[in-house]
Amino acid sequence: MKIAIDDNILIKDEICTAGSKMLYNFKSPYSATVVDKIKAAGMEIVCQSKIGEFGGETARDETKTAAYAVSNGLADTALGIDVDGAAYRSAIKNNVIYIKPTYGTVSRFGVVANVSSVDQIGVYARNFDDGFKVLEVIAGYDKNDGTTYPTEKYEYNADLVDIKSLKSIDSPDFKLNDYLASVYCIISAAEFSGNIARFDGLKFGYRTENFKSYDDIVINSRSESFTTGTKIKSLMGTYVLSEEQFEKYYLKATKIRRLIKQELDEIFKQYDVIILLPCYKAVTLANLTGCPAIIVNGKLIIAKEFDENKLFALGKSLLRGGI
Amino acid sequence: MVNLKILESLSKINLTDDEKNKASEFFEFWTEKFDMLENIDTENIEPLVTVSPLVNVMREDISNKMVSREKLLENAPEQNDGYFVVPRILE
Repeated sequence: MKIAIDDNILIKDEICTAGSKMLYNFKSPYSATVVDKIKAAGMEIVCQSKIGEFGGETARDETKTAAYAVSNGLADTALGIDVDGAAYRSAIKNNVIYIKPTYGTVSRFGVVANVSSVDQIGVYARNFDDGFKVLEVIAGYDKNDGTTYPTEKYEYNADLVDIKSLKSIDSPDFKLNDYLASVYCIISAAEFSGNIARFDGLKFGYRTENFKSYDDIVINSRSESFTTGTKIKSLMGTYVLSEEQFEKYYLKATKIRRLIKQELDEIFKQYDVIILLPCYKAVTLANLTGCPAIIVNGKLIIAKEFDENKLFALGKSLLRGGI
Repeated sequence: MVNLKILESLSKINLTDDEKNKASEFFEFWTEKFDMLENIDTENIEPLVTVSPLVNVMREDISNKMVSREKLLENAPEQNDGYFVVPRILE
């Protein structure tokens, strides 16, 4: 199995830029847990695939992305984290599948964090058997990531599900639909701004040449290396977390996040899977709730936590019909 | 109206004039949407900060040196004698 690894997942002694000028020369001092697991399973890492800054934007050179590598046979599968729907879009564009497991299934140790409560390593593949085979290798509890579930091993097998009895619903009415994007924007900006606070030009990464004081180093290193998108998102995070706005925006968004989860859980009482067009709102629904999702045939399909096998079975049957 | 100057200072990020214009548009667009959240009743609803169980990870009280000082300093823009070097902070 040949695997490509996105450039925000650390491979010991390799440069990990996370798509940012800030980390242009950062040499990973250790490997991410998933990289150790891939290697221990005898799978081969063939290349590092490119991402936009911190994974939140699409890479400038499409031919260097994970989805492209998988689509063109440079790799059989690839590991990458969806941020703001970038991975889903890339999978659709390159006509490959993407599997995002339940949040907390795969360790994030050794991943350059973007939106910590949402980030989850997923798998690009050309077929579901390959994708879930890799997922089985990388999934499982990691003492270095306190957000992983205590399950040591996961078993992914499409045959465990009776596809005929699977109940699905296409684009169900969702009462909180109009609020999804705002809630996601607030929460993602807040977490992102905290996560990129560590980049200060002092201990690693890019350092400006234009400084006299300590503050100059921090401000100029950040301002010269971050993209405009990163800067604005960081300012937004700072804003929603500021004393005056915290309750009104951030706290409110986290409460509505719970309501979103509850509403989704209600749908899952009646249906096994939800089929959606992968618009921004659909993406935020899958990501905010931590539910597993797949991209197949241009659709985003979501299931309840730990119902990956239902997605596996459905995905396989859809692919049999041909992409 | 959002005071970008204060946010720049808190975020330790300076925006160019062009970026300031883009940021103003971004804030205007989103804060208008954010204000709609007030329409939703969240009385007695607990915040959902993470969907994972977040159980405490306990371990023996034995130091666990994962990465050596030398290895970490390899990435430092400037270092000397095992320390990061930064400009003088105290005059």
